[in-house]
Amino acid sequence: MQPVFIINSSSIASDGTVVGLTMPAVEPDYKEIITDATLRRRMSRFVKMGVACGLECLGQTSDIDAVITATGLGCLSDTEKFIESIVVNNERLLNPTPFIQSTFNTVGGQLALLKGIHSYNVTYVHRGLSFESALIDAALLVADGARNVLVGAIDEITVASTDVQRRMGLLKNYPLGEGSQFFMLAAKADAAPAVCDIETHTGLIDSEFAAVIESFVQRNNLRLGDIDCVLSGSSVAEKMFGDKAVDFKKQCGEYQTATAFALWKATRMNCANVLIVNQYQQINQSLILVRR
Amino acid sequence: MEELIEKLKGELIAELNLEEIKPADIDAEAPLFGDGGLGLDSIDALEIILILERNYGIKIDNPAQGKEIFYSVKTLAEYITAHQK
Repeated sequence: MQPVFIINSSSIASDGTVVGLTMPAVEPDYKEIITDATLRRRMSRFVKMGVACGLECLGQTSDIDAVITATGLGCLSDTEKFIESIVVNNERLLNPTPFIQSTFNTVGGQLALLKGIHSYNVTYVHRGLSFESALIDAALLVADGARNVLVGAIDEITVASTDVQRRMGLLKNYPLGEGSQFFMLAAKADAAPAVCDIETHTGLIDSEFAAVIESFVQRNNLRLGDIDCVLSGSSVAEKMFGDKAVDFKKQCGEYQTATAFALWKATRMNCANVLIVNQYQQINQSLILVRR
Repeated sequence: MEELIEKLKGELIAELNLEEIKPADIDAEAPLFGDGGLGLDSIDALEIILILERNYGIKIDNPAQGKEIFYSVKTLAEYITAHQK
């Protein structure tokens, strides 16, 4: 894979505080970032979080050839509101706003509308591999000649989803997390971190995943000892790398697009080789190599 | 009528999520749509139709009348008073 350079990034994430079964994001004052009150009043927390984070990452960058977003569960609060309205109103007289805003690609669409970006605009909803899928698409576009590609992820906590995930036994290892991270990718940059390889799997058992990690590192002409830091969301990586492995989900919680938080952390580390290893609920496995 | 106008202002603020606006900020005779008033748009018009149907049991039979009925909070209140059963 041709390396893609991260020339800018932004994040809205938890500060590590656990509230009950969740790790809520610390949100900025959206009025200062999304100044149009008419637009803002229709946005749910999910949309505001994604749009504010995306706008911050976009900054003054022009020549945006793609906006790619990722989400595991989309605009949950609007979806819940819409479904509740269907039940309460006996499938009649449904409010248009939650329906309009409950689509998964709302953030990508709003960013394009706000900044007048008429280019490729896609949203990936691939469970625990949503962000990785968006990143692969972005890397392919950059390899194909795209100048600047905005790629990001958003997921939100709601009371109902926390309860459902608790009942499904999905919150045993980490609290439920949320957040948004965006990255501006380009083919060339001086002294910027670069995503050099991405690999995704579904349904691997631990021994298979360990073998995959080893061959991934070798494929990039590295030995396990050459990895300076591992941002880990997997017990397999912790066994393989010991003290080099930092459990990033202790800082952001568990959610489908938590690897976007790990990538944002990686961009702030002064290490030559950072490996992001993630397992989402023993279902999806992913590897991202970031080099400087 | 005054009581109904105040109730409508509260319903509009809640249903249209008019953050930062208080009932006292809404001039009952100012236009709801376009410049010079609340600056509502066509999606808000759909939300107001739902307020009328759900909260007052009123269905607007003649859509051509919409512009007059939805002109201001006062015209909405007058229409509700005249048509509520």
